[in-house]
Amino acid sequence: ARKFTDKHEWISVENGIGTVGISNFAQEALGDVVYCSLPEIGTKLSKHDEFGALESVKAASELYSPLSGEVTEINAALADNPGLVNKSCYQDGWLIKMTVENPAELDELMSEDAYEKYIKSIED
Amino acid sequence: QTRVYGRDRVRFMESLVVGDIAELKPGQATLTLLTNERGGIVDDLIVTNTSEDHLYVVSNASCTDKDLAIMRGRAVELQAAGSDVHLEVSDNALLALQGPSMARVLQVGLTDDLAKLSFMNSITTTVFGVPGCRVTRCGYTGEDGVEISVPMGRAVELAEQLLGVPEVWLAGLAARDSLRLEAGLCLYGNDIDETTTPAEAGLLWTLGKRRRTAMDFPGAAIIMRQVKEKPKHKRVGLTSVGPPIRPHMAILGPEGTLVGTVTSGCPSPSLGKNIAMGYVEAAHSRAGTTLTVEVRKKQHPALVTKMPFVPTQYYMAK
Repeated sequence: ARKFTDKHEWISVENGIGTVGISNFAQEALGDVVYCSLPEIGTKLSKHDEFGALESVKAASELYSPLSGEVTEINAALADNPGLVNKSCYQDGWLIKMTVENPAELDELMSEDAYEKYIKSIED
Repeated sequence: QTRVYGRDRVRFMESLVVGDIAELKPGQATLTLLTNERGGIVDDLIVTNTSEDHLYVVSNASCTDKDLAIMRGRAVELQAAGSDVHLEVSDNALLALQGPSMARVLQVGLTDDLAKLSFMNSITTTVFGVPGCRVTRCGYTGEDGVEISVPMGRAVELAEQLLGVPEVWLAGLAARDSLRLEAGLCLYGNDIDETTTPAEAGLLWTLGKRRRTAMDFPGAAIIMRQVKEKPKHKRVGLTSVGPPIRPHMAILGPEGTLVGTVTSGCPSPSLGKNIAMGYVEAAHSRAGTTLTVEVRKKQHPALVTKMPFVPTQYYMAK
């Protein structure tokens, strides 16, 4: 199941590895992504750490780690095709994979329903 | 948008700007600069010698208060000395219709032959049934296009009429910024301001031939000295790949020392790479020079590039 942060990232954990991306709300607000700045494999992140940025035509948006863990993979497809983040933010446009050091941190994140409510509340 | 009336309107205008306004033919427009006593640029604006009884001036909305205070102040001064000049601020809307299809789209709504209207020329006419519009073949995109000054009461109607044509779209801020940057056009407040002179900004072509000799514009002594001695900093174009270059980023020279600052930047949709403008020390300003830009704490190479980045498509009648 996907969990969400209040910074509009999502994380989906399978077999102890979390896949991280940005939500549809975020990719729409950002506009066309032209460049993805992602961390090196092996980078150790604490929850809330800035781990990169997405550059759109209009501006750059920092990315914040939803959990504590170590980066195990980055999405190489984004180097040549940054637009995947817009076209497929939940599938092909994933950003990084990381280990989950502290599974309890997952409980602090929003469920999909809670995130939907959250977006509605900030849109008003 | 401001109209300047009176027998002494040209003298009034020339007392504030650097261009040869007296030489403008009826219907002809020019980009010119309002300068201050320090040779700095107060605003960039377009002055049209209408074939009616006034000069038509379009200046930056962000400089409205400043420009009006200067213009009104000068008008009062000249009036007190017996000159015949007065201003009227227009409340017309200004619609820009830009792009290769402009002539085809607009001709349907005009009786005037657009083929005869060249870049930087202006007419008053009826557009799609709306009388009293001023149509000037100019713009801020580098493409063929017009700016239509339309009475406020019928501006929405005209806009909706134009947008009813399938190939006409509304363009937002980022799209417009990418167009003007591709065309190498300055944005007042970013690339030019009161601390930049026409020489530093590479805008010496706006100085009128007669005006350079007469040195009768604000800051003339400082500006003409820079023409002779060459400025220490110059506005340049930059191209790069990777993360986009943005305003205020540091530009480093071959020794890794700070040699300049970025003033504008965005990804270029036409070129598929990043474009930017900035000021660098004159020694590093030649096209083809490789410099380094600090983008979000990382260093990326950038190439000094001649502007416009994308060739312009201004229309000249045969």
